[in-house]
Amino acid sequence: MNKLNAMLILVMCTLILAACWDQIEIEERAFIFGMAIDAADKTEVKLTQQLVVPENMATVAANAGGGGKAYRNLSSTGKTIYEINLDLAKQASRSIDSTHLGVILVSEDIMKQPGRFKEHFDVFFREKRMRRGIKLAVTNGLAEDLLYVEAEHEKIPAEYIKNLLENKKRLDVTDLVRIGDIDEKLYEETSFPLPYLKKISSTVIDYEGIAIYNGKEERMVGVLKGDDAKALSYIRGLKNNGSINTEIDGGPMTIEILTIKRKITLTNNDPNNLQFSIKIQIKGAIADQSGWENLKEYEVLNKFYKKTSEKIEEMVKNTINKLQNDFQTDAMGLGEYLNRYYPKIWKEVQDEWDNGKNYFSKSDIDCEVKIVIEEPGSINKTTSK
Amino acid sequence: MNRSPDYQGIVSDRDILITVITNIIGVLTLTSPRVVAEVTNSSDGWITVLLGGIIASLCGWFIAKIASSFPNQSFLTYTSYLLSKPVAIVMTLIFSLQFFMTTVFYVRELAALSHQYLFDHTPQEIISLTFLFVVIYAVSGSQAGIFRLNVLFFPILVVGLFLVIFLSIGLIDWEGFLPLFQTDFEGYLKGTYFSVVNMLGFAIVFFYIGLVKNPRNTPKMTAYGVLVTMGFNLVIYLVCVGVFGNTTMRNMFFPTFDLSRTVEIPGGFFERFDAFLFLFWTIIFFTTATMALDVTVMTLRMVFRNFKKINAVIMLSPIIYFTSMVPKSYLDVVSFNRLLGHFTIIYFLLVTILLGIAFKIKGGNSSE
Repeated sequence: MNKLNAMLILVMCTLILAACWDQIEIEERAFIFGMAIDAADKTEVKLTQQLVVPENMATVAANAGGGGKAYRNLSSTGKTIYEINLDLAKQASRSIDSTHLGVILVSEDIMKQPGRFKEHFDVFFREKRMRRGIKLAVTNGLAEDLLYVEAEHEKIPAEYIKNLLENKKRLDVTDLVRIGDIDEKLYEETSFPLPYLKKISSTVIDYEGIAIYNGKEERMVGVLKGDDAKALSYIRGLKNNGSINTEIDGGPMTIEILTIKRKITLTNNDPNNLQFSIKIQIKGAIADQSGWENLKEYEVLNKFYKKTSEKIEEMVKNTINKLQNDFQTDAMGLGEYLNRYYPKIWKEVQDEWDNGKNYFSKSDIDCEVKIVIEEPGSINKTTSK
Repeated sequence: MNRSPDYQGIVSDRDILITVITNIIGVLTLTSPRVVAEVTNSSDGWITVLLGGIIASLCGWFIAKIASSFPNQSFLTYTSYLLSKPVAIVMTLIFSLQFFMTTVFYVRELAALSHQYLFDHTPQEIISLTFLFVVIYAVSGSQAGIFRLNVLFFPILVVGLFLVIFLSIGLIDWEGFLPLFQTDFEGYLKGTYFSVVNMLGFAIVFFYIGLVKNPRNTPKMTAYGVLVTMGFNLVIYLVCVGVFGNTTMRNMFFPTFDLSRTVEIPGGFFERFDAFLFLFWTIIFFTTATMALDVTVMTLRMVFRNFKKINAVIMLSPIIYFTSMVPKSYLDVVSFNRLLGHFTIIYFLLVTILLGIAFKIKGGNSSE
């Protein structure tokens, strides 16, 4: 009897343990590293997926002569991302695996049509294989073009873009690139900034600026470029390093920015005339000066402070002006601030914060910049004049 | 009672502490941050988790106090003494049903969860069956084995929870906790209610104290166990709020699991960390399901004394399996769980109050 039982158990085991329904050999998986979403026509989208070709990824010396591209781009059109994905799996002739998806690029075209970005993006939050750390960027022109940019140092364009988005050494970038952060904003219908990329040449991609997305209107309303983009980073208190250029006594000067601290206070809490004051504190170091300023003098240092803070203030005011009047979109996070510190006022204004009555545009925003230069660099001046 | 010689005194106080913790941490740990967030605003849920934990630990202390006044007696014996035999039998059988349903829920939920996050094609039926087999194996032996397993898995559980918590700390938006105290009274009340439901796993001490040789410290240990679990729940809740924010969390089905999906460890192999944490969640489900089935069998055998344990297990398992396959959609599973939660807390309170009153009147009976 015991033997019979044992036999039975063994037979059951073979039934249950023998095969895994979901087994896919790693050689048969096609890993997606990047995706680009373009508008095909009014309702359909074109999805381009960048699959890795692992055979060509390894840099073996013996293999120097041969070796093709380390990636393969496939695209197809359809109504939903998921449907296109299934379609692409047929083309790929391997099982597509999106667990290592790193970057999603969305074309400007889609972002600018109200609601379209949102309707196509659900799958990235829902699908079990998607991580919340996937990076998102808007592209100037067609998104798929960027997946063909081959930088010399990266074998896979999507990896290159991902590293670009992670760069912390510049200011004209945004802090929001993970789709996990954006999930919350989309859900709450708040506005937010997104990186805005452009293909510069066949080997280079760069930030063109920062795209501004209006949460209530569900579309991208514009792009902040150059100094405006930098100013937005000051306002948002970005934890990046960067630099600021000014002119002093006819000579150029650059200050390297070490840290930015931002503090918002509400000075008037009448919903129809909200007044904010933004204090920006910057710690910096002298990176470059015209050569003749004597840095040992307080007088000179104060001149530097004054010049740079004036410049930054001007930049910030410009940007605030643009956001309030041109875009009428709060990408600065003032609504979030109200929600967190003045929930009662926020309840009154939240439905028409940056649309309709637009309390945001009506509010007064004042800014004050303070700068401290902590390090002079190794030398005092280059000329003895 | 016909007990085998090794039946009594196989459990120490420390085992009770660990068992309470491993039993409470289960499927509900995955969903409870969401459930609490749904009824509270901003990060206020921490108050309800704290309150719920304190209430639960008081309840735990109280029932352990009652149970430990009757050392080495089964639940049926001391409730018969306190509330007459027929009442005790009905009570015990309702407990059997409740723990039976808990087992059913776990068997189904493990399959549903692994299907949602891990497998595409493997049928839920097979996952459930495999899981159930392991649970049956653990239950059909001596109860000492279950306690050993709990103690064995405890470090894994602690390490796993710490990993989930610590790896996510870097992603917390510290300002996201603001504004504080935005919830109305009703919200706090509901939140506390759900937090207590979440921690009702300590009810197993009703049955397991009979196995403790000298249960003088057991009430204290039970309360500690609940408090430790409350600590874990509190930290997990706070980390979830910090990482996702209240609104996003309301929108997720399993926020705690999504937390582990958010974590990224640099380097190719560990970039996807969630697969490893799934292992750890499976172990947690396993301990809870095992104890639920064990209590089911135990309570049934209190009433039907002539049942051999192995026969009871083998008779129950197909019923568990088929019942677990009854819910069709995910929503059925969710509502099943909600009903089970309401039922558990109402029944638990009823039993506790009845026993408490009777205990006050009749007092303990330490020497049978």
